[in-house]
Amino acid sequence: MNRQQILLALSLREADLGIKVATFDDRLILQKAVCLLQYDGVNLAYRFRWHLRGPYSSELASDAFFLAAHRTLLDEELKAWKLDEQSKARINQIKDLFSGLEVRALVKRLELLASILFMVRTGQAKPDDWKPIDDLLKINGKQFTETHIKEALATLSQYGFIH
Amino acid sequence: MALSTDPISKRKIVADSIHGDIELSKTEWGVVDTATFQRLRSLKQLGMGHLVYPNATHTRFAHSLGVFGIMSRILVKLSKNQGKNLKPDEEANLRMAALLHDIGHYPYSHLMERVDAVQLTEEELEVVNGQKEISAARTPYPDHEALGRQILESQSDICAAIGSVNRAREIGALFSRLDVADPQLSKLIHSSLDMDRLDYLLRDAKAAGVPYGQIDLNYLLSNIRLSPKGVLGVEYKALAAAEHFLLARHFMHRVVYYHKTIYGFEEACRQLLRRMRDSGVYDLARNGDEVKTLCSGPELLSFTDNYVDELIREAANEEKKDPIIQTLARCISSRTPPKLLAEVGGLQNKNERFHSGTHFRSLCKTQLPDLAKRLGIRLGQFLLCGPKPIKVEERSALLTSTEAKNLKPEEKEELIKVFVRGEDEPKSMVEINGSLINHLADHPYGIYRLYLADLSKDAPKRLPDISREVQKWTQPN
Repeated sequence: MNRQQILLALSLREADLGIKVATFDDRLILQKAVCLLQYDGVNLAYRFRWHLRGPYSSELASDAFFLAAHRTLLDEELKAWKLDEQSKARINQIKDLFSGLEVRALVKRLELLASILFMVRTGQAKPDDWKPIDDLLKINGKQFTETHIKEALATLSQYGFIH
Repeated sequence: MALSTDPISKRKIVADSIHGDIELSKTEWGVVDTATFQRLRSLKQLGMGHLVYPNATHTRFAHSLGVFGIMSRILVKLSKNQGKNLKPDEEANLRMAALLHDIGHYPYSHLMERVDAVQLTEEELEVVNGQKEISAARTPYPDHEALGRQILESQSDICAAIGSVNRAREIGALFSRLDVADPQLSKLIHSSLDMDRLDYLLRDAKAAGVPYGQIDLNYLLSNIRLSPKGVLGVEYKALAAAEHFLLARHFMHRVVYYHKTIYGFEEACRQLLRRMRDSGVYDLARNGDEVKTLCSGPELLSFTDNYVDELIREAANEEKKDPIIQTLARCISSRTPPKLLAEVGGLQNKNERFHSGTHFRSLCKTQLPDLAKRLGIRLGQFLLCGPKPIKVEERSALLTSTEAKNLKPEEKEELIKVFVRGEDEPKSMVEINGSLINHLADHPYGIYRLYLADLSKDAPKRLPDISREVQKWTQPN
């Protein structure tokens, strides 16, 4: 396993997520959570592109499938490593975003948060204007309401992702 | 400005050894003519490939023009095949994005960009009885697309040639596939069947002098079209050409990109650069922020293969503290490749899933410290590497065909799509029962390798014994 894969596994463990890839919902949660972790300053070095359901990294998908297929080896390797304290603190600041809801609701929450943040950080939308975000989401066939978007913007602000 | 609105007298024609004449508009030529774009002449396309294939010295500059040439042809084909014309500014941006897709490339191809994607043999072995901290706090070296966006916005010559910072941003979003408003457009640059691959397979094969990358470009381009939902695919009659394209890529990896000697040199260089960066002694960007700073100023023009060559020379010649750094550097500078002690794996059955490789790796971990101690060789001279598994099709190398078929559209966007007769929307080849790819998806090609970088005078004598001992670790339980 390389440094990037070990960092990924340690970060997901710290976020109480683990490497789950069995269902599409599992994989979507993993994708959007890693995207949010990266925007939070946990530098896992995955490259996200825009897909049907928002930011998506094929390199991350490959690594997640690889780690899931090698769980025994991974457990063995992780014994030798621990995550730095600064990254742990960052993960702990936002990890309740990844829990507290049933799976379908969690998928929707993370999809919206990661999508909005991706638009803002790539300069395609502004954090203080929900309408262009709504327009872009509609172009992509999303069914989020004005309330959903405004709540997501408030959450992103509350967690320090946008100002 | 789109080509069609450019007066003929203002156009430029470049003769390319792969695609023939490539025609550029005045604006496009203005971009090529900037010092920032000309830097690509000093970046070899195939990294250290020329150390094995002497003519493989072609550059990112030629490749970028080639990708541009293919994009120009695709846009004509799409318009001819279905009478669909993009808006002039969309067409102009796609052409420009193709031209600039590699503007942020690091020296020596992907080598420097993936400096942290190395196995952590020595570091791991050092911590058998405890835990070692690994940090996600340091900003990693950005990928070349992120660096490309930074360059387009910060280098005034290229930004002015493009026209404005806003347009530079649009183009950067296209070649990075960040565009939320029209994600289908940038798939022409990023997908399994993208312009980048169509060019590099042909160009690398020709330069290396091997036949494996000879794809049927003309037939593929003649049979490409967009679905009613805007998804790019090839007609069913071109299925064989699309399969051949993926197989060509597979063989090019085995014969060129993962060639044992080339990969040995590149792994030595990756390990060398990581050690130099982490030592803090050398003048090498210590994190991603420093790389971005370097690429935003005039120093960008020196950020070429020569930048790494100088670092290697410095490390090879100076008596600095770290003998492993010196050994790795001298291996490269004297063209004494790390010797391949063992290779495990190959084409695997889906149920094996690389187990022989992981078994070998586990044995390396437990046995290497003892072997190194007995022979008086530093652990860091052993280079254990697992190149990324070769995917016949995107990601399917790690999945069984059932798993691959069960992926959702979100996860299959980058797969090559084929228009099956009678259906409006194309399907990925993994889903087509009659396709070779459907079956090959069950057989990933993955390997682990162990090299030794050894320049001592005893090396020729002791190497066969070391190799024999390591070979024992390759046997199954």
